[in-house]
Amino acid sequence: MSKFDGGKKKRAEPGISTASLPDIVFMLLFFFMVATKSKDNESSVLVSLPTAVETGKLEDKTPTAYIQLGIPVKSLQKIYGDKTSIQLNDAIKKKEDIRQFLDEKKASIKANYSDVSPEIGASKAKQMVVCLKVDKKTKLGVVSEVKEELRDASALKVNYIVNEGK
Amino acid sequence: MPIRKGAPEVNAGSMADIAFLLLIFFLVTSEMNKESGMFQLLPEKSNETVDTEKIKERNIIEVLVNNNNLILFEGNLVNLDEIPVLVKEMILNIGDKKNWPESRAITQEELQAIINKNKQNLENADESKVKAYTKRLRKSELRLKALEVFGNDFRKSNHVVNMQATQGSEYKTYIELKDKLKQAYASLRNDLAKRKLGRGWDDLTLEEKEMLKMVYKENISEAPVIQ
Repeated sequence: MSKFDGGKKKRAEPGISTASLPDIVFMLLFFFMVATKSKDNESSVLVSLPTAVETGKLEDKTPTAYIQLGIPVKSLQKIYGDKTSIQLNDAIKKKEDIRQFLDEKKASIKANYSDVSPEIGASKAKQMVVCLKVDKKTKLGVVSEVKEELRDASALKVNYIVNEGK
Repeated sequence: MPIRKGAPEVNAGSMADIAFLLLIFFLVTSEMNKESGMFQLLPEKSNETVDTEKIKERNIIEVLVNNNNLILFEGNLVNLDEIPVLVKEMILNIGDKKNWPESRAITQEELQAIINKNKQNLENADESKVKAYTKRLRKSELRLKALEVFGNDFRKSNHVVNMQATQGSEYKTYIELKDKLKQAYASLRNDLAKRKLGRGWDDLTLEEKEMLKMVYKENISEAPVIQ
């Protein structure tokens, strides 16, 4: 005990300046902003989902590919017009690009499992579910064209993303 | 410099900032609660067209959405909310109407025969197919169990719900209609569960749910869109 309360007078210590803390935090923030890829890719099309009751959720870790259908956002309407467009990854693409997009997705799924075993990768690629985020007001003709394209690419598992509720 | 007493305190004022930043960071990057969706398995692309003509007229339950997003059920204009009840009625076909879908009783013998066949297949299967055959065997055994549990209610129904839509109809109506059709099946299963097991769908075990799905097997076929 004498170690603490006895002995010499304590030397005055200067307070740690906290002025630079915000800078550190901002640096961290910028680091994360740059280094991480945010999960949701930016929407180039406006999608307002329909509502349904009988819905299900995909199992965790199910490999997915997202296709969005809707009218381009305001800023892109000059380039792409205001007709229903298809968004793959981040960009608006043509119907014909779907196939290549799916192939790339499958390849990347396989690549993820390449260090485990190619067989697992292949079976995971087969399990890939195509999630369709389609705007309510889309005409069914467009949706069915996309579905035909999926069938051509033999990506048969489709999940229509909807809002849950009545 | 004045001499201070005691240890200096670290200014904790900015801790809040740090916490907020972290919070915002996680809010932005983390996935929101998982999206729900409606699953569909598209039919495989094959050269042969499905032999729809082989299906008897009476077994087809026809639902159509037209360009004005109106719904025709067996040729009659109906309200979306009426669909589940109408579909249920037709699938059950109590009173065995001649122009409504037919169904027949399932016997224990035929299910047993399928089990035996699957067992044999499993024994002779090469390694790559063992998994698939095991799954099939399990399913056929479960079907037999379902027959024991649900008895006469487990019938083989030949119905096909044929869902058609025109090109100009809206996706919203299509999804809502699909939802209503699924609700019809859900309600059939729920009714039977209450009657035979005394519990609603939400209180069933996984196995019971699976069995009920066998009893009322969803059979919705989608015709290609029409002009």
